[in-house]
Amino acid sequence: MSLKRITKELNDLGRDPPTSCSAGPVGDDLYHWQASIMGPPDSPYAGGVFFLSIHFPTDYPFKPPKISFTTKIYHPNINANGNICLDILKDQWSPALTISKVLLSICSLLTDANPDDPLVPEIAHIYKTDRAKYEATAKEWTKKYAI
Amino acid sequence: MTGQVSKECPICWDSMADNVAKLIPCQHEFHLSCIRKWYHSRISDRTCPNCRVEIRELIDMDHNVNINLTLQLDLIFDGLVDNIGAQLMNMNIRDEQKIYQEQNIVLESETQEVRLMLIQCHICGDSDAEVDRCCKHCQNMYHAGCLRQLSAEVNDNTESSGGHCAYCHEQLIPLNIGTRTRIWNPVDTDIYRGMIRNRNSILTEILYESSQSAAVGSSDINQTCNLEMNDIDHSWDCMERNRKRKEIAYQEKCQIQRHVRGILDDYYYGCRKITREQYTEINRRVSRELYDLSGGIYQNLNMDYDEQARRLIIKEVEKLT
Repeated sequence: MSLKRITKELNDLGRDPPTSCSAGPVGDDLYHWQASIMGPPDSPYAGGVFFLSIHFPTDYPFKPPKISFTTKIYHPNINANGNICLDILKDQWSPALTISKVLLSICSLLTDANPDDPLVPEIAHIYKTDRAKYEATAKEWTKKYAI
Repeated sequence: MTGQVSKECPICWDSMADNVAKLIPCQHEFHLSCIRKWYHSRISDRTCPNCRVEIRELIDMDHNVNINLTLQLDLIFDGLVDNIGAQLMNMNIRDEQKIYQEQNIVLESETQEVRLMLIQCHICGDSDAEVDRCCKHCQNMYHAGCLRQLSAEVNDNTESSGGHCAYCHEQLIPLNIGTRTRIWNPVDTDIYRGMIRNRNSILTEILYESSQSAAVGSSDINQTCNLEMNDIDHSWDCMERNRKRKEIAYQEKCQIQRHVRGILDDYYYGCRKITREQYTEINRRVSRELYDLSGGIYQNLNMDYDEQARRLIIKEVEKLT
């Protein structure tokens, strides 16, 4: 079932691509995709293009896809390895979700971080206490790694 | 993207021409096979993939059958064990001769360790060292706690001590298994009428203990043995009769309970006036009262069950507020 569903999602993405994101298989392996997200204009990531790798489990969509950033990014919920702390990628996954929906959720995570459930507590602390410093660093990292 | 004409399963994205299930209470539809795979992959928290509402029940639309996902194990346990036993029966037929031989083997080697056996509570099905009651006659084993619970459920006040076998109503003997280590050996296991057990294990236990006390001669053991064998055969007949009686009673109860649930569902799914726990509690109380009123037989012609259930439920709900 998983391959059929992944193929359908791919066709759907081609026919009706979401704004600011794109995704597709890396090579012949349909279970391994690459995706890109444009930094949201109302965020310190504006102007940057962030790449992500997507691995589908064989029992997709019953298990969530594994998604991580390959571009370095300064964000309270994304760590140095690119791992993302997002509930729908873990226990809140639902088989009715799609890659397109998940990428949109990641976009909104870039705009609105969740410092109360951080993956990098240091960044979360700066985010909460010195927002200007956080934004400056995030902008700097975006310029350095994503443009 | 798609209209009403060609609905797709939100899980596999294939068309839903057949194999359709509708979830209760949210009414969302999926392939039956897809949604089953989804909720079986969840240990708890069975929610609708679309709206995350907890799934209570689903309707197999192809066969118009309601599947309750919250059924309690104790309701289906009897049938379940019988079913498994029936399947195993085909693999292993009881052999009187073999049992007789085993008997001899035990008698010849009095000093050997107690034979291996499967210890299982006949009510909850758990195999643990807490099983502490055993029927000398039909060899059913129980947790004393399970017996008490069962007697409370069937409103039998005389059984509150948990002192009698639930099947043949013979006196139970205490079973102390916590002190000895035992392993279940499938080779030694006899399967009979849906129960998996070493047939002569309890008998062996008694023999072993009497040989330990060293006051018993071999002829006495032989006598005990013959006596026990007759009793066991007799109690199997008893048990079979009881099982049948219980099966009928269970069906009658199911029919009565259907009326109660029908009305309670309005309170729970409809106006959400009661919690899940209250639902269960009221269901239990009202159903029990209706069993008593009908004298254990479903009397649809003589009694208006819906009306009676409604009256009792209103009373129970009023008590809550």
